[in-house]
Amino acid sequence: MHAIPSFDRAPPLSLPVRYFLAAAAWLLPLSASLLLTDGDYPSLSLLLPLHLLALGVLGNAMLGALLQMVAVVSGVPCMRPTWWRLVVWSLWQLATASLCWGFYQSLAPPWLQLASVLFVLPAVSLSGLLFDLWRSPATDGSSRGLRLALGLLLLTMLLGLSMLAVLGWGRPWPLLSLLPLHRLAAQGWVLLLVMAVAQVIAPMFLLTASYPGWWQRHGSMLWLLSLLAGACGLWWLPQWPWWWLAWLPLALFAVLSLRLLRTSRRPQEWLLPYWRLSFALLALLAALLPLLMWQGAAPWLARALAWCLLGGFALTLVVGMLYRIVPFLLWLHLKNAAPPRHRIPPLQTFMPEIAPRRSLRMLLLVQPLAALWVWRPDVGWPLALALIALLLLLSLHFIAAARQYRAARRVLPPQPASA
Amino acid sequence: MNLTTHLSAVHRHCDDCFAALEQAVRQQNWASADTLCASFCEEMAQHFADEENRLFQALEAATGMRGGPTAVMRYEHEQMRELMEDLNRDLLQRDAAGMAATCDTLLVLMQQHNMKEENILYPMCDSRIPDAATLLQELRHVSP
Repeated sequence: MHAIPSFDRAPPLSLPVRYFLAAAAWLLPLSASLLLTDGDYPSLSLLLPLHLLALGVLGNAMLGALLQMVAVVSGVPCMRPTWWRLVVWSLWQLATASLCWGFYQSLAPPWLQLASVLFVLPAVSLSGLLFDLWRSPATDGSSRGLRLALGLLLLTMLLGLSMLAVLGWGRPWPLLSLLPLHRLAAQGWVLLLVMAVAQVIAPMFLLTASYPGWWQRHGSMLWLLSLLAGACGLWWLPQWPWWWLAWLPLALFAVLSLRLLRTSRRPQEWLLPYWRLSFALLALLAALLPLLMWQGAAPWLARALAWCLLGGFALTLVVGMLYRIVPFLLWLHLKNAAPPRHRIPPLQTFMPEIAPRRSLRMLLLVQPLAALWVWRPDVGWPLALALIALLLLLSLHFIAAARQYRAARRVLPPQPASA
Repeated sequence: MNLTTHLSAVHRHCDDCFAALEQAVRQQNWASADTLCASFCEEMAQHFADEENRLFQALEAATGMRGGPTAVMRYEHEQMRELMEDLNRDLLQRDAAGMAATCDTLLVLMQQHNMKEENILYPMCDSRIPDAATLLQELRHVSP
């Protein structure tokens, strides 16, 4: 028998917002790191921006969204908000900083040891969340996808911790086998989370048609099995072009999503071009993949693939999501604090449409500068400057939203005393 | 067909009405907006009444719970009713910007509410309400 969902125990406002703020703040060290990289892959100088982006920017944003989504989509109550807000959040930031500093210090073991210790508690907490999610009464495609995505995040962390055990603690494990598996699991986590989110967000907020039924039912599992086939190929048949299998669902997902977005009945919606840009970059990633056959692991191709997935596809979606979620959370918090029938200013008071449209223009500018960095990694400063400009825009817009929220909060009449 | 598929289809029908209303407001086609707004609010009111007076009561009787998810859903219905009042007020004043802003807010509130119902509450109704088939027949008589 299913548990009763607890919609009245959604996370407090400060929980996801704290993760979102941290995500934006990590753009600054990410920009600085682009000036340090020589762009070779695999190389420490490329691992630094890669992990700042994956753990600092995207990791924080996705964790904040995940904590909010499991409450709304799957009805899993937030049992320990203070734990997630203070302990897990702080450990995640410290562990990311420690890991990246360790990379910067040419794999200095003390920093890697510290990072491995700091990541343990967040991993244990996420395991608890996965357990709660597994017991959720929700059986829809999105909730199934969220479970698989969280499972892959834990696998990614486990493989990452195993590599830290080799590099930091001197364990005699096969580092070169662990690295591609860690990369595959990380790609799986990002894609599965987006697939789970897209199934809900596109039809509901962009008023598109639904993803085809077979995709909703089997898409996540198809992607998971492809990753597994890719991992097996890596392990047992290293000469076999395993990546065809691992990336087939990705191309399918990009095409399905781009076609779906054309059915949107909200052409004026500012979120729509974010999604179009994001999935166009995913399609570009799928188009670049066959080049691996001829180019092997050429450094420029490794940079291009990493950028398309993380800096292009995922970052664009995350920025759009922040502009949609944060003003709504502020509005909802205000509405719940106001007495019944009190008129609350609409969402656009907190975030006028022009704000996300400006950031979209900045993201459009970021893409050719990223292409320049892919081609000439020694010319990283234009991309770094564009990312700093994006951070400034995000800061300006969200500080303005917080000011509007505080102003509206100050003029709220007191709640009537309950009987 | 079960309660989940029927009530999710009602949500999609309300979405259709909402999308048409938004387009009419965007084009400042006020005559069309008047008709579409009345139709949208009527469909929503009927759907809320079906849920509050039949579905939630049946679920509460089946599970013995009085607060929890159904109380949250009723509270969110109330929030949406207030926004629909704002929508009608903006429409009377022919305030296109005000309506667009209220529509934006209503859409997000409406869809996160639908998500909770379609993913969890309706499937729970299907599995917990003993005479779900009869209830479905009753609901199909009053809504499309």
